[in-house]
Amino acid sequence: MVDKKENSKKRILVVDDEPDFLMAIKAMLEVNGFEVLAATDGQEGLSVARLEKPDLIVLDLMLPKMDGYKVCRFLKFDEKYRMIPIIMLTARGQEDDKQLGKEMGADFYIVKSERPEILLKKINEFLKIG
Amino acid sequence: MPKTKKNIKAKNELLPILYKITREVNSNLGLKHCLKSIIENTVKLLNVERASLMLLDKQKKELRIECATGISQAVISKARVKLGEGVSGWVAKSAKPLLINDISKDKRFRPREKGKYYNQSLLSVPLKVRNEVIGVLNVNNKKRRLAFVKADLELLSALANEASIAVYNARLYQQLLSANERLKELDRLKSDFVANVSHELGTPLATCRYFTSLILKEAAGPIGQQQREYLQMMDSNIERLTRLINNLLSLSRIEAGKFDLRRTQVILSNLAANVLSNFEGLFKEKQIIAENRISKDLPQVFVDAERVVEIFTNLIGNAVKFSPKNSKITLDASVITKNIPQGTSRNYLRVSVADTGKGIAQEDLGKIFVKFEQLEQDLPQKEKGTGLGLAICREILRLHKGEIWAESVLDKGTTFFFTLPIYTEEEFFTERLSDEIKRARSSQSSLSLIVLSIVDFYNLITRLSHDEILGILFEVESVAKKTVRRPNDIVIRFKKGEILAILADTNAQGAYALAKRVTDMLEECEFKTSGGLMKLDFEVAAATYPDDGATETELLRAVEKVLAKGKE
Repeated sequence: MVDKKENSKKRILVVDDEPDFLMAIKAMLEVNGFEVLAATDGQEGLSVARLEKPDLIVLDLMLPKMDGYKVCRFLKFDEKYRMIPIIMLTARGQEDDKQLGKEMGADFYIVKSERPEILLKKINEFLKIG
Repeated sequence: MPKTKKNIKAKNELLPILYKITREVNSNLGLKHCLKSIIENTVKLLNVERASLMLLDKQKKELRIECATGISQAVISKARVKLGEGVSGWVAKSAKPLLINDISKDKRFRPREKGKYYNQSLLSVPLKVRNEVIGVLNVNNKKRRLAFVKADLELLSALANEASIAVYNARLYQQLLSANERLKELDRLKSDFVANVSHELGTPLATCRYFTSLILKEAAGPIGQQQREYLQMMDSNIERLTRLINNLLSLSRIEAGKFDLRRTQVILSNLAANVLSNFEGLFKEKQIIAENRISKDLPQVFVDAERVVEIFTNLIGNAVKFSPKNSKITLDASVITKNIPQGTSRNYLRVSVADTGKGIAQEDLGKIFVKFEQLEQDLPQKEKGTGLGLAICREILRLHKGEIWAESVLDKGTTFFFTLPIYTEEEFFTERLSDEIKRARSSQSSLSLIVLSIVDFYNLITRLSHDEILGILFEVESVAKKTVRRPNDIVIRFKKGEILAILADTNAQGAYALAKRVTDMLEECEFKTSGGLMKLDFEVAAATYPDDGATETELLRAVEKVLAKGKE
């Protein structure tokens, strides 16, 4: 586990429409010393991202109001937000979606049901921690 | 002319016409066209004023005119004849032909609408399919007031027979079409279901997994030993359920034919090393020594790397599972040659994953690739598989035109083998072209193939050395490479002096513009030979998917045709 003090400033935005999963991932990140911002639909996610400029975004693919691709494209095509790493969460069996997501500029993909350690490891890699 | 001779002559004249009708009936011209042609020929051959073909509506028990000549459209659309009524109704009900030369003298039938059209003589035969009447073919009034004879009846029966086949074929085809539509709909529902399941199951499962992991890490307060054990069991069962869903999804996608391989050229040794590194933890835990003997110098394979990783992961995972502590797992590969049916042979890369575990009994070796077939094994819950891993491997290899099998000696160990075809440069190109066509088809875009051919290449071969020719072709290739997005999309046909290139997302117009630019550039070039610099002439041909062909063979044939014409 990561030293809490070192990450006290790292803020991660998590966008997911499933409240239980959002709570789970939030708890997991907080335990590992991150500050977590949450949004439950694509539009909210986009505006929080623009307003708060988090250090990293964990973005679900299927979201109400605006899907994950669109959010990703809006941010990645914008000079001001391009540098924020985006990890997309996908459901398994969406290999085609993965390809599309790549074109939309997401930095990494993680299948949702994969072990939480994998997501954590990737986040730490992007934020150059550990 | 004696009567018999005259008959034979008449019959001989009939044969080609009947043959033509048969051919039409068996072709795909559609029912309307077939029946129209039969009616037209009936009028001509039997020399009658009117002919009509009626079909039986089984439910309503009535006949309707499907096709006719000499009858007004109003009558055609309105006429309904009940089964058993009138001449047609009688023929349909009795399933017997009828010949009447003067209907006014026949008490059974009375013309219903006197004056509207006059029927004197008539001939009527049933249309039958497997002894069941499906309609009636009628002719009226032989011209010049001649009488119908037995030969007319025979001829009309033959024509009726053709019409029956045409109707039967059309109905079968219709049934097939609607059955096919139903199947497509079912297939669509199934894939939608699978996609939804993947999403709907994935998130709750992930939530369970995250919370279990949090509690295990005591993020929600300290836990006791018993609690830890129970949670660990929960965790490994979540893991199992996840794997099961993932495997089910993979398999159902492959089975639905929805699985497009993303093939690239791959050095297998590197791929295997990557997978092995993922297992390091498990190897350490069981003190297993894993050795990757796959040579880096083996030919590259054209595969979907992610899918081959899946194969390795499954096979190595199994090997670890069934190996005792302190054992060994060895990966190896070699080139083998296999004879293929056409009397030729093909090279394959044969990869092996060998363990020194307890082995599989001979009688069980065939079962292991069957879905959900798991051998009786004393495995801890956590290591229970999904029964789908090897079935998935087999399907992935089938898509790659490879095979998988296992050899085993009880208590000595098991070796899994799988093969992947090694393509020659030109085969590799054709395979790539086939992948590109699939991609273009699913994205409804176009794709072009261009061939640059050196004019008078055979003459060149006799004058220059092998190395000089190769040098020229390499230079031509490098010019062509500047025009395509991916350098892999080009191949040299050494024996023909041609450069082939795939142009993704390019239509015919684009292909020709590009081809012209390249030839212009090439015709400026001076090529080095031992006799000094020389200029060359080039011919170019292009073919575009879907306009010029729907498959890689059709496209290649299309460009070759253009080039052959140029050489004439």
